[in-house]
Amino acid sequence: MKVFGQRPVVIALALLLCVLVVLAVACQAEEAPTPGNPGGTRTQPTQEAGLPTAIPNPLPESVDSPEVAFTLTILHTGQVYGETEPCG
Amino acid sequence: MILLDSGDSLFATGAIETANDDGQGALLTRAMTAMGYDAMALGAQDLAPAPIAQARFQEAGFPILSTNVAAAGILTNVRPYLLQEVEGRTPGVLTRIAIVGATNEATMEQRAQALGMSLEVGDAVEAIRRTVEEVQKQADVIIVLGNLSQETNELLVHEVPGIDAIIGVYGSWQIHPTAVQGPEGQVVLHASGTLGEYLGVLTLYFDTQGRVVSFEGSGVALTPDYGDDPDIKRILLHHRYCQAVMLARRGQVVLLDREVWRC
Repeated sequence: MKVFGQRPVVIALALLLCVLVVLAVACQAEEAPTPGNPGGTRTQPTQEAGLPTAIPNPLPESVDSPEVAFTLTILHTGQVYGETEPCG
Repeated sequence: MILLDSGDSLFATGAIETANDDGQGALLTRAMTAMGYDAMALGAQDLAPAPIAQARFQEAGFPILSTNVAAAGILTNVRPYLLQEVEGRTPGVLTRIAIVGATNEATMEQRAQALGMSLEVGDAVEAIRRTVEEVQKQADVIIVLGNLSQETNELLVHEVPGIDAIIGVYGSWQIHPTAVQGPEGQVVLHASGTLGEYLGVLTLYFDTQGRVVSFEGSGVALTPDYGDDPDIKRILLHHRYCQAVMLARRGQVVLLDREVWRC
């Protein structure tokens, strides 16, 4: 009898868990840009490019090394998504 | 030193009608012009209803680059690439740079369709391959500037010889400078993140053959520790004032603090 009495509570907790999982997945999906919703989210945590073919940076012992003929510095931005912050 | 934007910058995401305001994008184009941007790649979020986009593109004091979107007759100031000479480490010695613009096909097609614009959007990899072949004899360094997916960027590295660096990626990622071996040497990828939170800073070191031998860089968080530039602040306040006047003319109530009114 005790087991039967607990069943609604267990079912309710299971349903609540399902709802929370669905909400968590939905929120994560909102973060990921798609062609229909191209980003506009805050910068994700910094990551390596995650490329299996990435190679180590062969930094010369000194940038004054004779191997280095010239340098170029690039400052860059991107995906500013307008003047207002879409996420409020 | 060159200053670039990888696109998807002028207009906010969301409903198309949010761009249906003739002042949208004006602040960014004015500020970017004042800051001396050398070029911006064309992204889907740089499109708005034609009259607004045309006005912004004309106001921009820098070219908007895309090698795989044909915008002639619809948008001015769009070209496939930019050739520029910059002074490298040796004073007086100029380095010839080609900056090739690349646009994310999927997002651009969808945005153009929603706006009723008939733009020709081509395959980015093939368009870049053709453009790189064209500019290779005119430039010591070739940079692809765009908003392509990470997968497409990787494809470019492996399939298009001659590229030295790829700046920008589609999505919300900030990516550390990373080198990948291409057919003619290493290619460096870097992305600075979104919403103007970070400034990407990348220094490339080249040998006498114009090949990347090393690099260093990072994303610099633009925190309040950095003071406001007086010129840019003036542009911002002027823009807010004009917006307030425009809204007031439309009969909407506008609340501004005294500082803004004084400007």
